[in-house]
Amino acid sequence: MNTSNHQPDHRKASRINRRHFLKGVGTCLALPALSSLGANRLLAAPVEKRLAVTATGAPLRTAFITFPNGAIPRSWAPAGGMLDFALNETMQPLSALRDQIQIMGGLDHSNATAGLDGAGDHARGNSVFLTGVRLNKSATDVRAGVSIDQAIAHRIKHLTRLPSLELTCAEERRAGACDSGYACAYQHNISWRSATTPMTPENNPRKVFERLFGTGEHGARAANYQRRLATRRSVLDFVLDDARTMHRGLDAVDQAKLEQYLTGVRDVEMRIQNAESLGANVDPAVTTPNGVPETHREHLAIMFDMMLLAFQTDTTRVATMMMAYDGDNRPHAEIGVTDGHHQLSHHLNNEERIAKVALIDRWYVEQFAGFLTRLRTTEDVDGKSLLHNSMIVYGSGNADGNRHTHDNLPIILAGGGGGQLTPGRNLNFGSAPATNLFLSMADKMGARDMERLGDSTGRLVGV
Amino acid sequence: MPQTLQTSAEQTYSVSSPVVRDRFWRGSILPAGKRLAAVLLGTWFLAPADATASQNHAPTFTGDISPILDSYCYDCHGFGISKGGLTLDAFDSETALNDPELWLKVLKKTRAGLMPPVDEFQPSASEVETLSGWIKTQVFRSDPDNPDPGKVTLRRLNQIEYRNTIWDLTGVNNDTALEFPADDTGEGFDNLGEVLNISPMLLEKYFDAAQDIMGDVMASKGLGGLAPPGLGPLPTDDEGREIYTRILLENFASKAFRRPVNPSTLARLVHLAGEFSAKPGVIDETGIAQSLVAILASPRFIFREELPLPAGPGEPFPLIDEYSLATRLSYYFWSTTPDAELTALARDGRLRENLDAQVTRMLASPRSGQFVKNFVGQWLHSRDIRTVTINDFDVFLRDYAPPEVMIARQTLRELEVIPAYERTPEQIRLGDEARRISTNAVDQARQRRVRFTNALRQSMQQETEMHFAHILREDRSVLELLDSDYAFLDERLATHYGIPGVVGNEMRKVMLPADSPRGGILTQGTILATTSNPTRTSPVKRGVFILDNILGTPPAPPPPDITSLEDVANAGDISRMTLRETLALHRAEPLCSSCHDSMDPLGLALENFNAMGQWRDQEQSVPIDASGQLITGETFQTISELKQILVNHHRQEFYFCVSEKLLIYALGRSLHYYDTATLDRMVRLLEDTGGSLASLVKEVVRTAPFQRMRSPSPIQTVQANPGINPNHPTP
Repeated sequence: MNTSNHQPDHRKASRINRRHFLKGVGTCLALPALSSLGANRLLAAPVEKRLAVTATGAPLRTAFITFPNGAIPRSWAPAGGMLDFALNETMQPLSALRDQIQIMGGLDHSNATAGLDGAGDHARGNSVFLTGVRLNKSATDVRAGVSIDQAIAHRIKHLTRLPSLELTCAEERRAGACDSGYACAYQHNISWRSATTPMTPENNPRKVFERLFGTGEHGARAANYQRRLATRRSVLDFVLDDARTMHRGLDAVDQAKLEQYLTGVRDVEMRIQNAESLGANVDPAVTTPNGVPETHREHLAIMFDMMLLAFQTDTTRVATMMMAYDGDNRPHAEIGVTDGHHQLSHHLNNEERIAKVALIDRWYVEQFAGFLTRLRTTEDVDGKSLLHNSMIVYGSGNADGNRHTHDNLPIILAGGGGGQLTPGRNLNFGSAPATNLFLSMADKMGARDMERLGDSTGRLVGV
Repeated sequence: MPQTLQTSAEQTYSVSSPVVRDRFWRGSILPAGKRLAAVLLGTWFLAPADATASQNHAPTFTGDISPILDSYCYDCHGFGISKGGLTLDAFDSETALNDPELWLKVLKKTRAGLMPPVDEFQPSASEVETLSGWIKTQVFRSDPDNPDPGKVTLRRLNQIEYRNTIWDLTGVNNDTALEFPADDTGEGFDNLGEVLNISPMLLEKYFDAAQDIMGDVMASKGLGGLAPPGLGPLPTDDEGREIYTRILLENFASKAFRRPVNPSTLARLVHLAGEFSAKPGVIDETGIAQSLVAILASPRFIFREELPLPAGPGEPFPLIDEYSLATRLSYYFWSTTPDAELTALARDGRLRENLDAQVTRMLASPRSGQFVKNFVGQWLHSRDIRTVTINDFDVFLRDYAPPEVMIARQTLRELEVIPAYERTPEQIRLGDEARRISTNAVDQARQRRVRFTNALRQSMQQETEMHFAHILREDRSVLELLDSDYAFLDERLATHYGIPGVVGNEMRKVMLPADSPRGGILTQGTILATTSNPTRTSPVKRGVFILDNILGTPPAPPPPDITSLEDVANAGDISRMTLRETLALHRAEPLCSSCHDSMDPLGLALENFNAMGQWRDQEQSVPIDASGQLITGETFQTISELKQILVNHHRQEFYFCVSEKLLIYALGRSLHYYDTATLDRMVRLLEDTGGSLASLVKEVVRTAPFQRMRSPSPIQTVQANPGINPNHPTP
């Protein structure tokens, strides 16, 4: 078939694609007018058992966003009490959003500590954050647990076209082993469908957009999307049959791998069914993003835009995003920090280094604040803001990156939860599992049947 | 020696040597009550009068091993002491005594000369032999002639394999790096069945990729492009169309599935084609294309299914069938699907008898460049040089800026925190002066500085790959990876390294000057840069790299509750220290020294090379001292001396390390204790051939884990139809 070339040119195509993007598209992506997004359909939809809806019947969304390497504690923690608090240095970018956030002090992840497992606090910081379980320390035998976003998504997956959205702005992966004997899957994922199946996040905004709305220009996407679904449907029966035949010849270990394939096939089936029951696909009047932007800031901005679009169009109500993986060692030259973040985070109590790390912490908060601002200024179907109808966790799996602590984690809960939350508060829970917060959020999403998550001991009272 | 070890689970296996008894009597060691009781009731009284191993019987723990351990190990790993959490004199049960993973650690540490520590009494060669023999025969219970081939978890194609495979099947260059999410890795490689997962998103992408690829095929060359030679155009009559469809689909599916498609699957594919034709039942190109999409979305394409041959009499582990073997060979050497020749041999059952010739052919093919690129790219991290973050300007300043510039820059940083309107006149004057010095120096530096460009990175990547390929193709010693009198350079890289006389953009073999510190992978830009932080080198990361990838003795990760540097010295002191001094401080803590003594000297030996891989004599105006002493005792002054020590004194560890990495890559699974016999065989081959890399790479395919599999249980596999010929249309 290919007598001329003995192998494809691996560099060629990928280089073109990587370089081929619109600069700054993230910050100027115009959002479509509300009327184009099927607002009427949403409000007219039956409020089924109050699952993932607000009191007005609008969709209720939840997102979990992680930042790397913890935060300098003394610059993070606000001063003052529950209501009369003053934002500290790191949270200054949130000043204008003070009444939209709750600062969640005193939440821990005991399973991210060393325990008997020794080093690997960054690997744990990623995959424990939303699961709360103790990870099996192995380079190849991967076992974590179901993460909160997936637990919620599992219960509301019939309501939207996509059960959940997983995003990442992490750097390209590197060869060699990952953190201290942990499999790389732990480092590069926060969302877990099951103990053995991570929900691999997408880093390319173009791919995210096309997955949400279809390929091609505005106007053609809905049809393209339908065509995709039709093709997927056309092969379903064949591959399912094939997989089942194959399944019979395998041992238990291999069957578990094939089960991942089958799970994916079932998800495809579900997406097709949902597309039928939920009506025509939304096609936002925006240009498809053109690839991974050059700077981290632009990358974050456009990925936040993707999440916002997914929420606004009610394509999904559950999302996760890794702004970078815990352990990230990127420099932040645009704010004058040329040393690597992780390298600096072990600051040896050197004031200059501490100041640089605090600058980075603040930079991440600034990007997050930009997202919240967009959510607040975007009107939802019920006339409230998207931010009002959301619950958004911003946090890190490490508290003090210098010493790798996992108690009193830096966590912010933003949004009004459709009226179920009371933002504008500075809370301290003493020492409670962070998973208790997640269970409380699941309750508010209507997923009240979860008994526990990881190390949870109950619901968080007073959220 | 009575078989005292065949006792109840309550039994504690314990030492029985006179020395230990003596210590117990004296009461200097007080074992736990339970253990003492067990000792008294168990091996104590039953200890043989003559504990010396006889050459004629199988060695036993109590009779042969315990006395050796007593002499060399129990001071730290016995008598109630368990350094590093390891106890070798008290086992609660036979299962605990026979824990293969525990003894694998012992085997590796003693083999590498790391244990006992160099300043302790050392066992004789025969004692080491007795110990390792006992571990292999009694604990591992391994039969060197029939080793357990282990379990390769059902493997999906990774990004690279998928792309190459699609290219071979269809001629479409599908950019999987863009289309698919990144593959997970384990043990440093991205082709391990255990860690390659399929998330729901990836499954979706497999479906869509299949559609896109067939869309490309139809748009560019049409169905005919996938038809076997001589099939001609799609006939016009219904019966002819069906025969055509059957032939085309059978041919393509058998290639895609890497074994003959079974008749029922083929029947379903033909049916599918009819179903999706414009006029149902009248097969057209669209319908056939739809079936082709289904083939590429099938788990039989995405996963590499392996089947056994029936096990012969007395064969504990069956051979894999020849289609499986063809597939293993092809993905090992070429990272792609088997070609027509391999498939034809497998079909005829003649692949094994032609194995040597095929391996030679495969290595000679340019496709074997994929092996070099993917194996070396990951083992030696050369793949990462393209993306590693290096701030060339900061690296440059660190090495070349005079002290007054560094002081000026420090002054500027300190003034930055004071708002301009609060500065005193003196501070303003200092600030202006510092800015002038800094700007001047920066301007000068900018003119001279090296830029860490993409072109330079590419040359570095090629340097490492070509070095390995040269050794492989010219049948040279793998030791030349550690030390060589040549390097692969172009003008750009030679200039970067300070090697004169290389002109032009072509990478070529260059003989190095006699006094050059270069030669070998340790002094190549790839490794030096990928083990650095963005602004400076990291001797610790470099040391860990060498332990991991050269010596095969990775350090234990840092323990929890570690003493931080801040607790040992105050921040001001630390900030004034050189990296070498900081690390020395670190090693003053016993907890830290146990590992840092092994990694720091290796990393510090490379300090003459900055984070971009350039030679330097000083850092921040302090002359660099690259000398050191390895944990195994050898001392050196320069990197060249260290390379010689590695080649002359650590050859065996390197042989084991290369063999392990290669076996992981070739098998696509992590290694376990039962692979010891295979690794021993590979290392023996290296010893016998003077380190021939080519022999080693070829030897892998003859080993049991490559040739065989555990019998799949409990279900019998579906038999492929042997009557169907994957390469030629059925008559």
